[in-house]
Amino acid sequence: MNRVSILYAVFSLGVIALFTIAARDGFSPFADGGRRGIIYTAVGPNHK
Amino acid sequence: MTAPVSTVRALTCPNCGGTIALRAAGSTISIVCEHCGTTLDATSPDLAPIAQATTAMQRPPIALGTRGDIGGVLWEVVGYVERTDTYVSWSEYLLFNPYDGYAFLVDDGRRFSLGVLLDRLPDHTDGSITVDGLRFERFGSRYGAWVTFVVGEFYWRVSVQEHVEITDFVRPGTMLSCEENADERTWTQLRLLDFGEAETAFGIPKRRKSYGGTPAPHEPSPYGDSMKEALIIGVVAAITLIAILLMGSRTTMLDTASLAVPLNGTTTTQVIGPVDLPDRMAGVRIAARADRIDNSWIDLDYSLVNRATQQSFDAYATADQYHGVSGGESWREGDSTPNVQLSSIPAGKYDLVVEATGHRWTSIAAAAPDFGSSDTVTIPLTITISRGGIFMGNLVLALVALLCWPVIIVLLHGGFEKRRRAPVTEDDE
Amino acid sequence: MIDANCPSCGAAVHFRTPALPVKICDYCRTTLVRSGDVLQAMGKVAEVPEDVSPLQIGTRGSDGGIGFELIGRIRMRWSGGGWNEWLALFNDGSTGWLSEAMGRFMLLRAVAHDGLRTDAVRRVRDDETIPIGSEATIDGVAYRVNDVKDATFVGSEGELPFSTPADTPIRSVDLMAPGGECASIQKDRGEVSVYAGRYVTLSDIAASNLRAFEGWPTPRFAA
Repeated sequence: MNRVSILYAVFSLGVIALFTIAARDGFSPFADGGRRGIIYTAVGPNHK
Repeated sequence: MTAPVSTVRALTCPNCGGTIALRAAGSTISIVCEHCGTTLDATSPDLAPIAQATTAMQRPPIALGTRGDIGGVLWEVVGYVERTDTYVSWSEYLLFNPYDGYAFLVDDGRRFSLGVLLDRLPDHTDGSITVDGLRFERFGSRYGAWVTFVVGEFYWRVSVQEHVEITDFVRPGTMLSCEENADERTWTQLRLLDFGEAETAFGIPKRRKSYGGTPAPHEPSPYGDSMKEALIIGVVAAITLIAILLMGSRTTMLDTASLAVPLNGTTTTQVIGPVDLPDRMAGVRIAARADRIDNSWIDLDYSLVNRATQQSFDAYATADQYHGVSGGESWREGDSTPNVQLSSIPAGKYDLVVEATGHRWTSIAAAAPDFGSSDTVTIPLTITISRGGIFMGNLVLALVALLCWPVIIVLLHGGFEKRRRAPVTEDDE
Repeated sequence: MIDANCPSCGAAVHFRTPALPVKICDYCRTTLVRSGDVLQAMGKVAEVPEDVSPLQIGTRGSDGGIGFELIGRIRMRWSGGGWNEWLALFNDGSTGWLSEAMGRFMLLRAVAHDGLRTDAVRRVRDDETIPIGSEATIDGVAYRVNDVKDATFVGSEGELPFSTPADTPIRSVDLMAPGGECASIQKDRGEVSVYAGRYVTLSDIAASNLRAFEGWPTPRFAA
């Protein structure tokens, strides 16, 4: 396994990890609403 | 045991009087004087001249007599020829070692190969040949080659304009070259030397390592191994991704309700709930069904409100369906079952506030409704709210990210192989 | 082992094996032919021209577990160059030839060819042309003709199975097979001989007692 392939394997693990976290939290940048981090469409009191 | 003798004998060229060296007495039959270029017969006791020089003398890049170690064997340069097939030119050094015999150092301008005569006949099978169980594929078609320049000593009667027909067979790293003329056929096995191997051995400046230009016919793709590994890793990762998708795609229905929506522009509001989101964060799906909708649309405003914090997550959808006839063709468009997905909704009890506004679609060519204008059509609308599931958009994004590198390296490998196999034309270097 | 005196110059002559009738006197280069107890002088041969062959009289090697020593040499010449034929005497008393040309070596043993019906042998016997690439089967191996040479003796030394007068016309046909085997059919003074063997490197035969050359490291196998 050369260096480039090892880097790619680590990168793939990262992608899979991010995908799994998103699946667990129900997160997606493609959602139509909800708490998306970048576009936050919540109104009303947001603090406790 | 007699004292060691030198393999090099000094001779005088009968044509120009210059001193030339005979390095392989007994095997050499032709010497081309390095000073005047006259071809001398080494089998005659007085070195009878055979042919005059027809081209200007030049010193080979690796001088005659230079010794170098390749693969653990010491070789001495005894002869040098330049050949061409009218498209490309290359040079060959005849190497000699009294214990190992002869070898050829072939220089195509970019890479060096070390060749030895085959001591066995290859097995032919249509376009490919097999030697010692290794298979070689034919590369290109038969071509003619001529000697354009020669200096030094050789074990065959070499001359400028000497013509042979060559057919090459390749496998990664090795080439089998079949040369024939009217009298004989010889097979040479050429091993591609590593970048810098020949230059270091014979003391000439190292060439810049590059994969551009035209690769040698037997040059293995530098991307081959990386490509195989990238594809394996990519496929395994993609399968893992899909496995996670299948495991986590359960959706749990939380609540459902139906409302009647009049198509007169008024807004109907309904609150569905309470629904409980137990996980720290969850994705929420709101599905609407308006099966009987026709040539009308319903605007849907959703607000998912957290009972405790009054925090509201909003989304918007439209349920519609239209049809008509235009130019003799009937058409239909619209989505009567729109879905909305909300992401990362925090845990808690929520109410879903649905505000539905229905409209009729009127166009110039629309048929007049059957019923009176005072009557309003009401469409039943079913709203279902569920939690969980996986966003397909995430999967596509992840797969694209994963497959970036394999795609890049497949293209690099493909480009290299295409250049390697390209037939040589006059435009090439 | 037989010791005698050269009838021509009186020098001591030593025969290593009774099986070989010819010895070239090391001093006066007369061909000495032994028949029974009688030694006959039969004309001089030329000295072998100086070359950079790694082999010499006395070089030892081994093939198939049986050791041998090179005891004689014939230098041959044809229009396209020259080559050496070295006579190898094996420990079991048999002989073979180590043919050296263009830096390559063929180790060959005589093959009885009376029963051979192969076309190539017949053509050599009948002095017909033999096309390059034509097939021949010898001792169960399928060969193809590699080259046909009209050659002659140039010089010889040591002990030999036959005499080597200069300018004797020799027809020599070399054959090659896919497995590295090689063969040779020769016609000399009316007699056809067939040899079969294979290409070897000096390392393959564990050659030792090779000639030493100034500036050339002795190969590992011969150290």
